[in-house]
Amino acid sequence: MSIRDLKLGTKQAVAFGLVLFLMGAAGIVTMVSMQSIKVNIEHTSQLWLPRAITISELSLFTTDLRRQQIQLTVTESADMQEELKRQIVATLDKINAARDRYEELRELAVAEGLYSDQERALYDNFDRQWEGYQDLTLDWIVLLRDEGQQAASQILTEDARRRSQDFRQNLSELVSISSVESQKAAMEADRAYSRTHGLTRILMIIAIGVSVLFIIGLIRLVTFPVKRLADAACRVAGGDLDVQIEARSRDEVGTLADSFNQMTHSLREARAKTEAQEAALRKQNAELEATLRQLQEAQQQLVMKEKMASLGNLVAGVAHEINNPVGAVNSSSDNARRAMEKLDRQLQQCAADGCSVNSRVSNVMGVLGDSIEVISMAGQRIAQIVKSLKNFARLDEAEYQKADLHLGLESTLTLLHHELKNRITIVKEFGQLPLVNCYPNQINQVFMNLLINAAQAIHGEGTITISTRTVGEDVEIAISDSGKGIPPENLPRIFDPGFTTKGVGVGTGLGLSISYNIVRKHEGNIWVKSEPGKGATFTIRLPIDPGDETLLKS
Amino acid sequence: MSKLATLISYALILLLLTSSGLFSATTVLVIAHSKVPVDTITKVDLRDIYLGDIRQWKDGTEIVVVDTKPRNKTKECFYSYIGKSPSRMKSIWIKKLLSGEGNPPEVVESDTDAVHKVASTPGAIGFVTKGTPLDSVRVIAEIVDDGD
Repeated sequence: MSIRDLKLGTKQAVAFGLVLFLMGAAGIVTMVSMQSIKVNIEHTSQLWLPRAITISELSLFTTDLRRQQIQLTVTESADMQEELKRQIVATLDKINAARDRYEELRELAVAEGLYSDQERALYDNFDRQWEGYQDLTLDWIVLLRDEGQQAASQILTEDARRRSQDFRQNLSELVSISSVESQKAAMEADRAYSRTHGLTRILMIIAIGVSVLFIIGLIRLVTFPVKRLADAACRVAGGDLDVQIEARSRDEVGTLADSFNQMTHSLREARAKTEAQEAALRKQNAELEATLRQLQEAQQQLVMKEKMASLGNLVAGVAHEINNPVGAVNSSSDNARRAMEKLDRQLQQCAADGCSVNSRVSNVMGVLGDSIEVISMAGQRIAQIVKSLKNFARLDEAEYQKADLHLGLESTLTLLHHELKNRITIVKEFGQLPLVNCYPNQINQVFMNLLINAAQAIHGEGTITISTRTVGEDVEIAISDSGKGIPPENLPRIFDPGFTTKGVGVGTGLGLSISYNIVRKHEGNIWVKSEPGKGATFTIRLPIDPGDETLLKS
Repeated sequence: MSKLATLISYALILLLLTSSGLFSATTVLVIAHSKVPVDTITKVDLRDIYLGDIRQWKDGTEIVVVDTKPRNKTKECFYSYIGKSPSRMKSIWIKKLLSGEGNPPEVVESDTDAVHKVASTPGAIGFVTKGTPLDSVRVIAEIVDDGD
């Protein structure tokens, strides 16, 4: 059980108690000492000094007595003698009064144990000597009365003188004893005062020290921890929940610190829970948004697909319908040419046989031949266009299969012939490409989109370069144009659905997005490099064999 | 047995102490001339006589006070009985003598002298230690001092 484990109140009580004890001790010491000083002073003032004074008086009175006796012995005036006798009686009264006083004081001193045997012996001695002196005085009076002054003076100057010296000696010793004792008492009082002064001062200093320690302790035990708590509370209020307070004591402040720590712990947990929930919500929200976007894209692509499918069907139907008349035209023009050749041979035979041929017939034959030739060429061209249309639409080839990408590029270019002719030069840098597993109609759509974009990027005359090559397990098709290029800020969004720089009605903004999705579906990649004013290069990289068909469809 | 022995020894010690006390006790006899008209005397009367305030017996006889000179136990005992120390008593006598109100006691040198003086002086009064041969004096008081 250390001092830290005590309650605040107990700590205070202990400290107050200590201070109180020290104060009390100082007070008691002072009081006891004061009592001692008082007693010493009382002894001095009430016992020693009065005794000394009384004895001095006694000594003085005896001297007076002796002087009066001597005067009485020498004076001749009867009046004077009577006067001196009265004085002697008065002096004796004084002496006896002084002795009474002294004996009273002696009683008090004996009661206080302050009457020494030496004093008693001296006083008894004085009593005897005084008695003897009085005996002499009695004798002296009788002599004075009976035999005159001459005889009386004898006693006074001899025996009485010696005796008076003796008892005065005693008295002066008594006085000196009393003086010495009163000095001793005074010194004792002084010593007691010094002692008390020192002790009281030490106790007071200790009490003050303890008080100061107590105040410092109180500040350390209460003010500092409370300030720490307040600081910590401020930090918690500011959002820092990792605040921990070290509980240094087990008093109320310590308990408070524990509670505070518990509170921050709970707050931390609550915040963590809230954050987790918020994160989950945000994630769900993001997923929801992504799903919505996918849905929108899918919807748009579906619409586009439907459009393309309808267009494909239409194109296929048109191609099919045109194919038969064109076939008829082609076969008929062949027949017509063969007939023309046969007719020409007949005419030449005829001419060789010598029959004249009208020159106009020759001219007609020429015109006819030219016309047949034109019809034949036009028919062939129509047949080629139809073939390209059928090839592009690939309605018969909508299945996943190995396809020649060069063929797809050629078909697309044929369909775009009208758009490109006279204005744009197509440079083909075809490498060696293996057959690629893909949906050919979808890949053709990608080519179509990229080529249309390239053509639209070129104002006036320009060049579109198409290069192909095999890179490891992949094929790479790059379509570069010499157009205006793409601003850098648009590059990151170029494949976003609905992003377009073309005016309303020119593009849907879906072309590149659809292309991107088709390429991604084929496990491939598409990227663009462009510098403003230097054209743009779209590069498609497709795996030669992306794997299972079913995976691609998903 | 030992208890009894202790008791006996206590008793013996007590006896010894008591007897020694008895031995050390001083008894003073107040004596007077055989013709004085009193058989006993009170303490107050005795003091007044020694102070010189009473100077005649009832029958008019002059009182002659006798004092022994040596300051011994008997004298101490007597004076403490009448309540005045010898030296105080002498002051009073000096005063009386000076004012002519009386004479101081006759001073004798010993108890025997005191007995003689009292026996031979009509109206005399004095004090002696008990055991002093008494001629024809009358013992009018006996003062016992318990040692001390």
